[in-house]
Amino acid sequence: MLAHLRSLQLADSAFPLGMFAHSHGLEAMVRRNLVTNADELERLVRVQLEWSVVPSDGVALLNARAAAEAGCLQDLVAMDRLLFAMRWASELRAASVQAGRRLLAESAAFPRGSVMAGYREAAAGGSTPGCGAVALGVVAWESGIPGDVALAGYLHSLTLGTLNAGQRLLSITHSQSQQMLARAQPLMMDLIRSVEDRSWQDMCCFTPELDIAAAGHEIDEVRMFAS
Amino acid sequence: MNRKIPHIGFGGPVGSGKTSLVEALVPLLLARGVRPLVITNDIFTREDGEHVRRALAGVLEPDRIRPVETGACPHTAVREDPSMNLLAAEELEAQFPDAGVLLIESGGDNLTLTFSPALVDYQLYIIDVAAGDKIPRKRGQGITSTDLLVINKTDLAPHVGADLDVMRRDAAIVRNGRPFLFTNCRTGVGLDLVLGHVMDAISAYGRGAKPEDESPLLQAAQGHDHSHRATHPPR
Repeated sequence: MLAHLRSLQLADSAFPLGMFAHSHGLEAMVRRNLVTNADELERLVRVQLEWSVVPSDGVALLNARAAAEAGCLQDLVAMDRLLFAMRWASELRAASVQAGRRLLAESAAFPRGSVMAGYREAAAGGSTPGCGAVALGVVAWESGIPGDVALAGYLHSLTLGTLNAGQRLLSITHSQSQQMLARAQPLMMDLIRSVEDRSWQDMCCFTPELDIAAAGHEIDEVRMFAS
Repeated sequence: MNRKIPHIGFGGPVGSGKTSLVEALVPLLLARGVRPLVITNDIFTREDGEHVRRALAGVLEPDRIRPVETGACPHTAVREDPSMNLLAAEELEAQFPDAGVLLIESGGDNLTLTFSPALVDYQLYIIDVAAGDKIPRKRGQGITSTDLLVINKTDLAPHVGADLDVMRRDAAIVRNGRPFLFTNCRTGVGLDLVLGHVMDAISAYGRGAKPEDESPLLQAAQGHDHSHRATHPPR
């Protein structure tokens, strides 16, 4: 039960990771008229989950938890670097690293062991990027949160963040946003099952339209979000 | 974060003069031998950050001024979840170890905006006369509980039918002894007084006073009396 409560704490939008300032590429898509309404927003969210977030961040999170359990700092650093390299829009890399750094800072009060300490030290020293998904995998292990539960929480937070940004960027209601989130939940469960046994060397993502738009966001004149 | 220098917060509604006040204070601080860093929180563009950089060209290196995007949530960015600002502060402090103070300007927000004590050690709230002389008595945590209330643009009072005496009377009542003062950032009236308060805050930090010890918000929550902090507003 404690692990369940801890997973709720980590997935809550009130957990201070600064994610409210990110649209995860949505603002760039809206500015380019690639997402203009609720239907297109929902499609983007689902594509993002299936083709980017779960096969990259999701696989990293599950493998990071396993590496933490095995006490293998070397694997943690290797998958962290690979995940960082896979985000080629700089703002998306920055968002991930920001979340990881803040998570490591805010979870300092959580019980932790030597792997957590080693990873924290490596991230603070710059020898590993400290991506959010990898950091969460380590924290999940230290907190006794099962991998699939931690990943479900991560997908919930990220999807909710994109939908909340959608409410500010598009003409959609809070009810539409919640319905989209509910409709995405079975997809999240299917996707989690599909990557349960995937190794971190097989991480991938393929959302070129989103990535190209997100890469252009940093030079947009009008911008509300940091990504 | 391991904070090495005092952080001063500037909050207030859109257009009240937060940016102007920061721009005016920077050269005054430099003249006192204090090298400032600046973070601006923009709501929709990088307008404030770019404005500060332009206004302080030749006075303060552009790299010492950092704009932060807030996702349309200025109060969240400085209070509920100051992560973006904490990271920017950490990076700036590491990059410029010679700095003596960090000025953090919030995005324009409503009258309840306050900063997290994790982010700032001292906070000013800036309102302007042109928004109406009723603003002080509307209260809100920004008006009532910040360390210093600055009532800006006094020159506009006759043009908008605002009565400065009413603002002075109401501010004194709702501030319950906490300091407030009038300024006109365009002409520089009152800036020396603001600088005095900011320098006092920097000195207090240097003496090792913990932010929590002096936070009026915390003291208010604990039911402390503030009458000992009363200062008379300038006329």
